[in-house]
Amino acid sequence: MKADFYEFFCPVKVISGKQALSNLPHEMDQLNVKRALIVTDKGVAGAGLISYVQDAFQGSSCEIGHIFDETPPDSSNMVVNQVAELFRQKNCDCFVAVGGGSCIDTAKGANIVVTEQTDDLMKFRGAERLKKAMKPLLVVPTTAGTGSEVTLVAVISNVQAGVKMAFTSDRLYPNVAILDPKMTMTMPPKITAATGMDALTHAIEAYYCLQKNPISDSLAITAIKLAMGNLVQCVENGKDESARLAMANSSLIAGMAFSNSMVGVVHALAHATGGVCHVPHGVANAILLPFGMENNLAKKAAEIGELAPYLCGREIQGDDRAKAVAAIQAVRDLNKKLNQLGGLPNRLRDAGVTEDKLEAIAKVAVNDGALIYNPEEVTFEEALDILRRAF
Amino acid sequence: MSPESNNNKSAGMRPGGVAAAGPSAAISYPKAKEPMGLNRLFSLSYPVKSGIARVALLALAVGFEYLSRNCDKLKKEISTWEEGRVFALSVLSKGPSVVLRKENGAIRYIGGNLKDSEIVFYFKNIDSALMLFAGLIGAHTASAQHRTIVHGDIGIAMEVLRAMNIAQSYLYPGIVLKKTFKRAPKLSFSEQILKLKLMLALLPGIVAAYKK
Ligand SMILES: NC(=O)c1ccc[n+]([C@@H]2O[C@H](COP(=O)([O-])OP(=O)(O)OC[C@H]3O[C@@H](n4cnc5c(N)ncnc54)[C@H](O)[C@@H]3O)[C@@H](O)[C@H]2O)c1
Ligand SMILES: [Zn+2]
Repeated sequence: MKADFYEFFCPVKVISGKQALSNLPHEMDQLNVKRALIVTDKGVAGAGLISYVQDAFQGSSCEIGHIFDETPPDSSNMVVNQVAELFRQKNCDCFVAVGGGSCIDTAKGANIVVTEQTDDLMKFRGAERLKKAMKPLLVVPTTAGTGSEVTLVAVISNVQAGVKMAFTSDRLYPNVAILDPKMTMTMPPKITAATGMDALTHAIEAYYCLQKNPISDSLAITAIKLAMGNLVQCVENGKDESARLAMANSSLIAGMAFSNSMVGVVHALAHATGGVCHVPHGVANAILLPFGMENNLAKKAAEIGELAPYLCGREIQGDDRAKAVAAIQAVRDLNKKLNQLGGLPNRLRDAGVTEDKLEAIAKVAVNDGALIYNPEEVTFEEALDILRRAF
Repeated sequence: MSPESNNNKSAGMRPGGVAAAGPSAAISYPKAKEPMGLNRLFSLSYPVKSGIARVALLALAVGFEYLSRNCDKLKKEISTWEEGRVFALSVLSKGPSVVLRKENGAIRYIGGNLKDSEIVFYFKNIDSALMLFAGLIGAHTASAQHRTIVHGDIGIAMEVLRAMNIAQSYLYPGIVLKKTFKRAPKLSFSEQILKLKLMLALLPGIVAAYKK
C-alpha cells in the first residue's frame, strides 16, 4: 500500500522464547538499575508466576525492592498514585510489570507520576506531554492480548467518572519486553480467548484504520496469521508451549502495529463498554469486532478484503466486498468456536451489559479518541445502533 | 562502440541525463520542481506563513463566536459544556494561538494566552497548520498524520472537535468539505443563508479580533 505520510516508532528490546525470563536481571543490569518494583495482581501471583520471577533473580546482583500485587482490573488513577508512592518509599529504581494490560498500564502510569514528580496522574492526560526520561520499565506479559509491552499507550480507569483515560507518549514505551511461554500457560481458557481476540482486534483495526502505514500493515498481517494459527489451540490446550509462545508473539506484533496505526470504532465502543459496565476489554472487542468491520465496509472493503485469506485460511473469490464479507464471517465463526471451547461471550447481554446501559455506553464512546482514526464517521445514533445489534 | 556513446561514458552520464560523479564530469542536477497551486504556500517565508495562520485562526475564532449564537446545531453541541470551558488552537513552537471560552452559553474569543486552557490543539509546525487551513487535509487526517497533538482530556477534546467540525462546515466551500471530512455535511437552505451571513460578518470580525 502507498502511504501519504506516516511516522513509525518502537524502541523496545524484545526477548522471546523458552526461559526468556531468566534474562530479566541481566537486562536490568544493562539499563544500569538494581532494585525492581514488581507490579502484578492477585490472579497472576495466585497462579504462582511471581515465584518464577523471584527465581530469575537468584544468583544476580539485582534485587526485588517490593512486590505490589493489588492491581485491579483496568487499573485506576488512585492505584497508580499509590504504586508511585511505594516506588519512592522502597527506594526502587525501575519498574517490572508482570501481568496483563492492567498491570503493565499501572506501571506505566506510576512511572509518569514518579518521573514527573507529581501527586496527580490526571495532569498528564493527552498526547505527547511527557518530556523527561522515564524510569526503566521491563515487562513480562502474562496474557497474550494487549501488546502493551510494546505500545506508547497507558489505558487507566478514572473510577469516579466511569471512563477509561488514555495517556500516549513516545516516553511510555517500555525498555524491554520478555515473552516466556511459561508465563501465559496458566491463563484459563476464557481469558486466553478474550485476550487473544484483543490481539486480533488490534491487528485488524490497525490494518484498515486511518493511520495505517506499510510497516504496521506487514506487522498486522503477521499478527493475524499467528493468531489464526494458534489461538484456538491455546484455548483447547493451554499447556501447548509452542502455541502459547506464538500467541504471545501475535499479541506483541499486533501491539507494534496498532501503536503506530491506532485503532477505531471497535476499541472506542470496547473502552466505553469497559468503563460503563466493566466488561473485560478482550471480551468487548471480540463481540464488537465484526460489527465494527461492517461499519467500515463501504469505505474499506478493499483493505478488509485483503485480510480474507489470512482470516478464512483460503483464497476467496469475488470482488472486494465479497472478500470483506467473508473476512467478517470468519471473525464471527472464530468467536463462535471460542464460545464453545472457552465460554467467550458472543453478545453484550451475555457479558453483563443490560439494555438500559447502551445509551450511556454510546455517549462515552463518541468521546473516545480512537474514533478519530476510524475511517467511517460514527455519530451517537450510529454507535447506539452498533451496540443494539451486538446486544 | 560509437564515439558518441564513448563520450557519454567518459562524462559519467547515465540514461536519463543524470550526471554521475567523475573527475571531469560537468555535473548538471535536475532542478527541484517549482511548487504548484496551494503548495506555493509552503515556500513562503516564515513570517508570511505565520501571518496567514494567524488570520486563519482568527477566522475560525470569529466563526465559532458567530455560529455559537446563530447556528442551532452548534448551540446544541455546546449546550452540555460547562460554563467557562477554555480551549485553544496553537502553532508550535512560537506560532500564533487563539483561545476561546464558553460564556453565557456561547463561545467567546479571549485572545492568545494559553495559560488557562484545559484543552489545547497544537499544530507541530506552521506548514501542518497551513495544510489544514488551506483545506488540503481535514482534522482527522491531520491527527492520523501526527501533524497535530492534543493536551488535556481526550473526551473533552472530542467534544470540542465535533463543535469545530460544525464551525468548519460553514467556513469552507462544499468542494473542500467533500475532500476533508469523513462525511461531508449537507447544509439546508436556511443553513446556506447562515453561511452567507457569516461570510459577510467574517472580515469585520477578523479585523476586530486582530486588535484584541
Ligand atoms: N496500553 C495498551 O496498549 C493497551 C492495549 C489494549 C488494552 N489495554 C488495557 O489492558 C487492560 C486489559 O488487560 P488484559 O486483557 O491483559 O487483562 P488483565 O490484565 O486485566 O488480566 C485479566 C485477568 O487475568 C488474570 N491473569 C493474567 N495473566 C494470567 C495468567 N498467566 N494466569 C492466570 N491468570 C492470569 C489476571 O489476574 C486478571 O484477573 C484493559 O484495561 C485495557 O484497556 C491496554
Ligand atoms: Zn485492545
